[in-house]
Amino acid sequence: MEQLLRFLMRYGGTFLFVILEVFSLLIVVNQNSFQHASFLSSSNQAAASILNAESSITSYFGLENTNRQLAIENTALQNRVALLQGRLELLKDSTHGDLQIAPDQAYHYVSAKVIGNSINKLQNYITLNKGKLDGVKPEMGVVNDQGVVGIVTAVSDHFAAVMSLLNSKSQLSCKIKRTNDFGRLVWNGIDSDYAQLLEVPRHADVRVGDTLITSGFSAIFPEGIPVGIVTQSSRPSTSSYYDITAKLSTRFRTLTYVKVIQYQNKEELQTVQKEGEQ
Amino acid sequence: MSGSQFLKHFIRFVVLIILQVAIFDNIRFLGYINPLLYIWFILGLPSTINRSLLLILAFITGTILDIFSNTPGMYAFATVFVAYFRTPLLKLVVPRDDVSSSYEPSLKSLGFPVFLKYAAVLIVLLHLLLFTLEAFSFVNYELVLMKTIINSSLTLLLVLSLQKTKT
Repeated sequence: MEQLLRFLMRYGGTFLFVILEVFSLLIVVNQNSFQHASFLSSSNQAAASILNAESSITSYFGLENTNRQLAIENTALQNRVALLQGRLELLKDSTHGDLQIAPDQAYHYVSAKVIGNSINKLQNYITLNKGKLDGVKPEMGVVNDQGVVGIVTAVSDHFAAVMSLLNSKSQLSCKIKRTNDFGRLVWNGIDSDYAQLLEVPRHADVRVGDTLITSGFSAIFPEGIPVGIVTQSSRPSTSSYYDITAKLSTRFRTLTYVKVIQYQNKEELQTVQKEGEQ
Repeated sequence: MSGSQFLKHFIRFVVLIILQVAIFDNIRFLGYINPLLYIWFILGLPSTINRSLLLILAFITGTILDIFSNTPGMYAFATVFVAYFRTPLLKLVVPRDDVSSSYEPSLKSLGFPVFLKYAAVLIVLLHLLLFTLEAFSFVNYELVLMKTIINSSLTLLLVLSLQKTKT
């Protein structure tokens, strides 16, 4: 016992060092399984309330920009309402007022404010001020009026952590609007305005200026949300795929308000997909 | 550690963490500017601090930053590593006769050349470890090295200039 104590007195520092380092490394290596642990992420209640306080101060700086964005979105929505109302009137006339509007709306949006956001790391995350109690769950898609933002990874009661597209672990299935060729969008960590589209086969026809949209294959994003615009495409002779760089349509530097997408038939779709694979 | 000394380090701890989370983790210029000023807290602790206490403090600091930036384990690993090599490095760079007495490593107590050596080694080590862990592969390693060089210089500059204004 005495010897053990003497050993610990003498090498205690090193001993503790090894324990702490092994512990941290284990967490790093297993980070995928910790990703949904909200106490270890910025959706943690304490951390998020500090971020919330910070954003309530800093949000004033971007107010003008935000106002403009909201005004644009507002106009677009009003136009849409007007258009749809017109169509509704038309339909009403032709069916003598007995119109039944289809009751099921597959997607539901929850608007949220960004209270934490980074773009200067390899793995960037965004923190939102909506959580479990607002119906936000892990694996839900996040968009804003410009395009795709990311995917929810962890939630607490009032806050959510979102893996941004600017994350080396993020993968998004998208397709080229003009030709419907699809690929996988990843980020190489270098420029926060550009991402890379992989696995588009050589025989496809990709041109600079083509628009990328979500493919709608997963239950996370509906089809047709803008992702980016192709700025570079080449066919390296050593590869059977295209080399495509796209400018992201979402401006991550000035992200303030976003919408979380709840897909009502998600479980049904996933069950069908799983059954299909068997 | 006397009461006032404890208070000083505690305040520095809180202020540096707030600065790190609110400002330095949020710089949106160029997309890779992310100086890690918080390490000044570890660098400035008294030289005679119990080694286990130092490691535990480093672990706590790292874990708090991990929580804020969604990087489980990374800051903790890098900070504990730096804290562990602080003691041998101090013995190496500080002239012999100072070793037994207690002092707080700073520009004033060590002088410019010695403090620069001490701070530069640990700051570069910290950035290199953290950015490597973040990349978690050796693909694209030039990016990690470039980030290390740029951000280490920035952190070092910040630590030096903050101390200059204090004295």
